[in-house]
Amino acid sequence: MTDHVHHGPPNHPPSRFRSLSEVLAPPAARSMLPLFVLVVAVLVPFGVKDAFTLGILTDSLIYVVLALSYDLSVGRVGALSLAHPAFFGTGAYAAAIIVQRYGLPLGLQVLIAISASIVLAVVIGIPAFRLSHLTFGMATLGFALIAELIAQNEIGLTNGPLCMAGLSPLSSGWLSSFGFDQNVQQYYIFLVIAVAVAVFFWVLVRSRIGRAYVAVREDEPMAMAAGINPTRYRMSAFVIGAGLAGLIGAFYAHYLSVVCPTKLDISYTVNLLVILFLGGTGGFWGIIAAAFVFTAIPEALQVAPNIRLIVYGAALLVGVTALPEGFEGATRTVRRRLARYARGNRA
Amino acid sequence: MLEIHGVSKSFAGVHALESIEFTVSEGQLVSMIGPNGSGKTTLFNCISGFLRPDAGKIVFQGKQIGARAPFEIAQLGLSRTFQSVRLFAKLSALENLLVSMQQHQDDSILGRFFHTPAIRRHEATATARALELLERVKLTAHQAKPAGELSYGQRKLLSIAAALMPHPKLVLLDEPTSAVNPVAILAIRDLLREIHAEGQTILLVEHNMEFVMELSERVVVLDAGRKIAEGSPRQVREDKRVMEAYLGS
Amino acid sequence: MTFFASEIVNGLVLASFFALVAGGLALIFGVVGIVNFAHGDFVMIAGYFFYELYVHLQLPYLIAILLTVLGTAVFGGSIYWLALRHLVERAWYAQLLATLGLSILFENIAQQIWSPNALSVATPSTLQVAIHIGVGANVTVQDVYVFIGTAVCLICLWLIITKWRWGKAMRAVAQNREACVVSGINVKLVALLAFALSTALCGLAACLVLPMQDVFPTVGLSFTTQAFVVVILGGMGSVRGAVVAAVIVGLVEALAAGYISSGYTDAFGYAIMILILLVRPTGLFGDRVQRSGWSSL
Ligand SMILES: Nc1ncnc2c1ncn2[C@@H]1O[C@H](COP(=O)(O)OP(=O)(O)OP(=O)(O)O)[C@@H](O)[C@H]1O
Ligand SMILES: [Mg+2]
Repeated sequence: MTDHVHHGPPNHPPSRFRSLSEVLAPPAARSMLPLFVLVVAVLVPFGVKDAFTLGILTDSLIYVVLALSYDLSVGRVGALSLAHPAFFGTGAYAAAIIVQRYGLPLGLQVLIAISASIVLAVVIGIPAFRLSHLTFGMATLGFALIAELIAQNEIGLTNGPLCMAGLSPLSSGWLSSFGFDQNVQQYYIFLVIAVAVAVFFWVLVRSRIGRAYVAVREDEPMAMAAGINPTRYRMSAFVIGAGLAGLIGAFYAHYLSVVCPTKLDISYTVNLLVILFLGGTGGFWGIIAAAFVFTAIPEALQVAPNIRLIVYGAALLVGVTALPEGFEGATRTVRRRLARYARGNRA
Repeated sequence: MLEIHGVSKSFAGVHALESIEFTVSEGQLVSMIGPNGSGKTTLFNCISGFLRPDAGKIVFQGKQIGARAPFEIAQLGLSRTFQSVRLFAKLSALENLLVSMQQHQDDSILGRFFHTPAIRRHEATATARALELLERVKLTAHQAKPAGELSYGQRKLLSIAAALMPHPKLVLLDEPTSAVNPVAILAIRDLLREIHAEGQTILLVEHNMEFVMELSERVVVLDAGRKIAEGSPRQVREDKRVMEAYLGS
Repeated sequence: MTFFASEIVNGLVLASFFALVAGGLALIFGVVGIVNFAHGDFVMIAGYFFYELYVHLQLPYLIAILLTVLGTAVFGGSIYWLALRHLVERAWYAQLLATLGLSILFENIAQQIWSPNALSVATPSTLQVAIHIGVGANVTVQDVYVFIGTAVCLICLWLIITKWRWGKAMRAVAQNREACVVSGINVKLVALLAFALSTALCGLAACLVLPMQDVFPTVGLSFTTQAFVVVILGGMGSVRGAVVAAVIVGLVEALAAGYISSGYTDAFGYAIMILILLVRPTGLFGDRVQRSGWSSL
């Protein structure tokens, strides 16, 4: 009896008019978007010849993978972890240590890197998921810091601040048979990884599991009433995200050919948070676009790192304060308003 | 099917429930009534695992459930709705129903991530069931709409449908008709009557007496955390203590 | 024994610093209702203020401290009014991100103005005299004065919160914001005062700790995270809890650095926080019912 009464219109008739967004981007065109993006991405090395630009695009692809994997935890189940670079770094160090000590092939390195990150995520997740919100965030930050200190201090294992070197860059015989040079080969290898991860992410979030993620994030008691174990799903999102970060970490180690403790730094978390929140957490295309915008544009404009960070900081402060739902949310709102305006005119 | 034995619960000195006793048998439709603040929702929360009783036993199908987590109880086949309608506002009406079907099939880890044939079959049955329920609550036309955009009455109906989705053995409904317009009340009444006729066991909390008297086989009355009467609708209606409780509050 | 005693002294000095910074952070969380990830940067900026006043302009030591504290409070209050005010009713992670943005902004602007290099400030030589106490530990006048300065300051804070009209209003707002809005308390002004007060504590902390700690643009974030460790351990929003937790964290970190490994000093603060949270998810003095769990009924 104490309920809030909400008198909505009794029965919305299905909208008879197409919204403006449908007019501008009809469903057929929208379903072409992935293909279009993919074709452009494949054609890029034919137009872009200089190593610098190609390198920036490769970096952006790495950020796409990192941002999507981070969003599983932050955006999909709403657990703002601050430990993501720890998983990335674990993957990178796992690859480097295996190369230096055992010389195992790349495939095995990647497998072990993924496993190591997953194990670390479980070790962090079991205590941390007994906490919530800010305390969860701070506990994960604590673990991330401990991981960084281990990389700094356990010189016998990690070489400490001297870094681990000796990784060979990525190449593919098949790609080189087309006459592509090293940079182009690496670009394509990261493109394949990014596409594979994006497809995996897409399938996962649209599956039953993705549905349960949203349920847990939106209303935990209701999700429990529906028989969903919230901790299990949060944990799975966290762990899968960690595995993906470990995977890209292993490849990244080869790409850079050295691995340093700074790769576990919290500044990566900040970059990723900028990408996620301005791209729209829990989204897809917005995050991918933001990964490119926030990685490529400052590089391309050759902005001094310091000035870039001033812009980042201001963007984060103003963006989050003024646009609660990120750019994607803001464009959605604008689209909705335009659509309503268009409907109003015709009706 | 459900046995409540001496369940008590208090919040910082307020005795919300004191030694409540009653049972619900298979196939029954039992209603629980009582003035505001008499402890009905608190009892629902204890049964569904959201609160832990201070004392007493709750037995569901021979299993003690007093200390289990809400999702475990739900997986045992005990569904509930919430007094203030809860739905996943951003998920569509159809998806809201599918979420409830999430766990009611034991599936392998691999099955969780890949669309194995077993999962695909499960999804197909779940979708068929969801569409059937949407048809019954007359929301088929709105299946793709986010639940947050439905009217209040429609959301109430949808939340009942969600509770029925996994073929629960027992469903607890907390004030299904409160703040709902008269037309939707009739729709809800018809739905409950139908599912009860099909053998669904229901425990209902309601303030709408007409609704209660019309539907229930048995009525339990709470007042200030105590059970003050139990019996057929007619017995309860004529009970002096019940009248006092309602007039006195 | 000597070593142990001097580690205890180090720990208490560290604890004093934590108590000032984290006490302010707890005040902001409790009264203003903001998760402020730029808090440590106010200490960093106060450090530069102090450097300018004391080293550059060569003002007398105490005058420089006083002006730094006032300047930081005015600066903090202005930043609150210009930017952070708009975050009050927002979700905690939005506050975290926006203030993290502010922190990045401060850090890099400081880098533009003062260069990324560390600056150190030497205190007057009278403060560097060692005094000998019974157990054989070497205590400098500086240590004693950090300790007394903090104690005096915390007592003043306690008096402000319990006796002063606006201080009482702060406590009322922390307990029930809605009721205060209804009963006509100027909640916006109370929040502004609380923010300025807690940045003043940052200013004082910077002056006290500067001789022992260099100042450089990126130092703020590590102060922030340490202060959060202390505040969470003490129970979010509880100033008293923050002071108790500061002593625990200060001693644990100093002893761990002394006896185990100095490479892992920060890690011990986090470790103790995580361990205590596992037993008490809302911290030592936290509200046990509220704010526990991801969401409730
Ligand atoms: N979480 C809680 N904390 C403290 N007191 C509570 C809590 N939940 C319920 N109560 C108290 O317990 C008593 C019973 O409340 P309950 O919600 O169970 O009543 P109800 O019978 O469902 O009433 P209504 O008809 O208004 O829904 C009330 O006095 C209420 O204030
Ligand atoms: Mg109720």
